Amino acid sequence: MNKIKRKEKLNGKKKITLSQGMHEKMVFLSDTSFQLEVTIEENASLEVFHYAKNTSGTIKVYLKGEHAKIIYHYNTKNETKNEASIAVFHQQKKTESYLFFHGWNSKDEMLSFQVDVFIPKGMSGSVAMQENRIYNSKTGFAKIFPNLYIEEFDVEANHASFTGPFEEAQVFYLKTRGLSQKVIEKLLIEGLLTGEGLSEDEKFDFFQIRKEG
Amino acid sequence: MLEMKHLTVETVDINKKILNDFSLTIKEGEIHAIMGPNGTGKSTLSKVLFRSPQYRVLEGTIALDKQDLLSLSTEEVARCGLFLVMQDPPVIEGVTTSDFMREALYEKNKERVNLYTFMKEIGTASQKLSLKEELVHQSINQGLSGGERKKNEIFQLLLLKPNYIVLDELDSGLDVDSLKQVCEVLNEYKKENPHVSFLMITHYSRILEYIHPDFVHKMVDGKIVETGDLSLAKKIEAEGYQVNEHTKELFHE
Repeated sequence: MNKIKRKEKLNGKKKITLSQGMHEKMVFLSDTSFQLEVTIEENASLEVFHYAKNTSGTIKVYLKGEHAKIIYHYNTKNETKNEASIAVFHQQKKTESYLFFHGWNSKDEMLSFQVDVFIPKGMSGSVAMQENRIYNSKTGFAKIFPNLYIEEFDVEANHASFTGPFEEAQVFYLKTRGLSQKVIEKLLIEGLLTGEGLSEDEKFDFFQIRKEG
Repeated sequence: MLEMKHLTVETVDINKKILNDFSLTIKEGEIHAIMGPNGTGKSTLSKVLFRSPQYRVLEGTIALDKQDLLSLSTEEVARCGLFLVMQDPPVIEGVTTSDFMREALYEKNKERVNLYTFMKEIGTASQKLSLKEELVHQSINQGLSGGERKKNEIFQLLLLKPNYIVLDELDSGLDVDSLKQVCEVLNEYKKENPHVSFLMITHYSRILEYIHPDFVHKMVDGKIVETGDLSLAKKIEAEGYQVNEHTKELFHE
């Protein structure tokens, strides 16, 4: 497994290029709007854990060489009106994109995800997968636009999207073990948003779920 | 003592009556088994006990040691010492069994469990069940087989140490060896805690060969129509759930 090479604030504009054969993992923290542009060359791969709080941003990913690969985990805790968008351009054969956009919309504002993947004719053997989920408070609004623009037959692609409140069956199950609604929400939100990108202390600090609980 | 009296229950979504004047009393230390055909209300009963929002109680009472359970929320019922082993426990991605068990123990005892003690208890419980310890540090039930999910339920039971245990079709999804092993663990728990009561819900008498009930009840159309000992289970296994003419008359009284 690759070690995480960079952990940094991502606010404003940023460009990253992964040269041929490079494999990296990065962690980004955003609390004001951002624009990220990533170029991945042949046989290179990048896994991103991006934690955003109350902010909007755009991400563009260019898979420029054969076997270029992006895995993007975008996790956001939202209290104001925000939108995150990503566009992935498969510009060579056998390129792969795996996108996981998760959000917790805790107040009464709008959170939306625009997740676009483009695979033009000729980019055979490519893989595009996306899984998007927004948990909403009772008064929040959420929209997800999951788009796969595929012109090539020889492609593996799938997507799943969910917006809504916490699943009743899961909440009931946890309650039968004596957990209160507040603790259940804390566990489910942490489960939705936190990944291996952050240490336990950073998760605690960034999301402040326990402090708010 | 757990007392259910004259319970009539319907579903919230389509107002379908499921339990119909259902009564049952389970005294401390007793083991009861309810057998019945599909759709007769057995699993509904377990969910009503735990105050599932899917059901509305129209009539009747449920009392646990004279405490009115119908006035409590699901989590408060659980904190009274009731434990439900679910027929089909859900997958909860991102929340590990060990994390949520630690929270559950905190809610129950109102103090944080020492991490060393907790890890030791996890080790002991998973060893008893031959459950790979790493599975309890993964998302709840994610990637687990039907048998492993049932073992995960019993694993949680061993940590929470309840006084009243509802086993909703424990035997479904478990192979013969696993069922025997899980039942042995439950029997050991019962031996160590003789005051603990069981309510087993099942279609088949096989599980009753491993956990011997004091009472077997036949349930049809939302109510108990016959009560006996283990021989009733064998009779049901041989004859099915048909209701005799005398009982049918009682239904219409």
